[in-house]
Amino acid sequence: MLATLSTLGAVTREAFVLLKRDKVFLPSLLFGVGVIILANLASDWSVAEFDKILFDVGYFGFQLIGIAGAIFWGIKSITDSRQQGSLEVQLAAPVTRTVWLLGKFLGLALVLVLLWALLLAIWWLLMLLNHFGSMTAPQVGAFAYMLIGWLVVAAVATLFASCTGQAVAMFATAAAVLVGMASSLVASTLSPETAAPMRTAVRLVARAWDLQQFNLVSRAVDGSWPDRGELLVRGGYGGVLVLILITLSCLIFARRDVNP
Amino acid sequence: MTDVALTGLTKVFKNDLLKKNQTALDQVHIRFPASKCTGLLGHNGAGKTTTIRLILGLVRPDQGKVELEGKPIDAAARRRIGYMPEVNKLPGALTPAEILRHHLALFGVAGDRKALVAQALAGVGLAEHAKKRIAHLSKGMARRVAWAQAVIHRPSVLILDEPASGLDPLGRREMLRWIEAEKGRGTTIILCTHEMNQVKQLCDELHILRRGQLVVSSLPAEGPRASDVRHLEKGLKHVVVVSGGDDERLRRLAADEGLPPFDGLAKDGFLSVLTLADSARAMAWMGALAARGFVVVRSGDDAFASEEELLPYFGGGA
Repeated sequence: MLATLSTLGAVTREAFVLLKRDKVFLPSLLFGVGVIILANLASDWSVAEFDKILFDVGYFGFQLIGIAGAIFWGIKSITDSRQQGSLEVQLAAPVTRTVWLLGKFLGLALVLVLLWALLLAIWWLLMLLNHFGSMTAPQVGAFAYMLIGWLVVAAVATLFASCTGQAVAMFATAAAVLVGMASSLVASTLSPETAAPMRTAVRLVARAWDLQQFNLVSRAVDGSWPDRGELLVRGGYGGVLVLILITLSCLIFARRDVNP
Repeated sequence: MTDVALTGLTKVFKNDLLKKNQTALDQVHIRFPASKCTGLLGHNGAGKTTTIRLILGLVRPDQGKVELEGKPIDAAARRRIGYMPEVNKLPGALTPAEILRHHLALFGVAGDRKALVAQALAGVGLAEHAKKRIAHLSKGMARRVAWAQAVIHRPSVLILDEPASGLDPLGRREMLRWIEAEKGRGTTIILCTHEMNQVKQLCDELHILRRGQLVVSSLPAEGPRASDVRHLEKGLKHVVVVSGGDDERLRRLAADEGLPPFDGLAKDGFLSVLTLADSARAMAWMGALAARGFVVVRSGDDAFASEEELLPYFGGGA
């Protein structure tokens, strides 16, 4: 057990270092800082609803960077190892495929947490400099739930990268994210004339795969922050999704031959 | 003393719907004896890399088994294997020191890893480059890191796939010296190469694969006699050379076991040279011979003088 954890730690650390040194990490961070500055300026220039504008623009930028990072790094982390062949060398060591894949996901999760923490710190600092005051607990909470969303997307990317090539994984993950973003919206705006089987299917998809569960920014700004129970349900939903997706990834990956 | 045995290995790669399945290996039996350097040769696509991948557990056989000292290769057994791939498969963003430390962690090597890494890097002449990223090193330097990675955990089996590939003459010479040193330590070495010089210098035995089938097995590195080469040229017959078996015993074995008929049986001193029409027959014979305690070996005075002499085995013209 200890040996497995030690191996998991080694794979996680390597994945984290590789992603942190990836050429896209710094530009992502800089882009994020740019969006935060833009959100602050937009808020400054507006005549009302400063908080709402600040958070709407800022949250959108945050979300864009995080999801793009989760998709890009989630796929790159695995397909690069496969294409460069380091996967082959590492799996020739006494490392199980499950531990390897889990380590890659954990490394990716750490990089996303690092990116999130850095952006949040800059956001907080700019709010203070801009005399918006310190961030409230719900505001920080909204960003924390956004991070859960990123991790779910990272798990989807890991799943597709573990069973298919880079390009297909990229498109499949992007499509899955789009469906997840739109599912609840589509389900809530279905026409009464929509056929019953279709209605049921759309609602089922919206219930099973709804990334808007992690979007709490408007509720953080307008003061309708969810109670503890609802927060737990939303967080638990994210956790279950990650668990299911990563378990599936490991099951698929463990059965496949390692070929470049 | 660690030996590796492949028994009846078959691997078929299943392709897309519109393409045919590809048989990479077909009923391959090979034994890599302990503490010896065994060459694994064949044309491109002959199945050498697939054989290596099967030993390393990277692909799973459709039939047959891979064993290390008579046991299936599991995670514990993989701790004793070192692997150097044909091309440098090292992450460009990491430094040699980071790669080796990571490798030691994966192998669960205890002790002062920092010191082990420093020692390994000094051993391959890269002490000064320990903190440079792989992407900034030359191909030759990266090859040295790959060597250090393959041996840093002191494996008892070393699998080398074209170890000198991409190295300049000086680098090649150094690589051969390192391999010889490992051989001297009693490491079982499996060497995949196209270079006859390496085979002649390093290998105690030789196996040749052609289109996924073993066409020559357990030959000493000098190769078969010229007469066998000519024979193989004509019909790609398979030669099994047996030590300690007289004609009478072999004929009796054939009758008892219902073995396929051979095309020729010749004596070469204490060796018997069986010529068989195809690899399946040769495999059947080798299995039966091994089960009865015969030593399948090959000896001959006429060496491969050049790579041209190998061409018939690879399926090319002589």
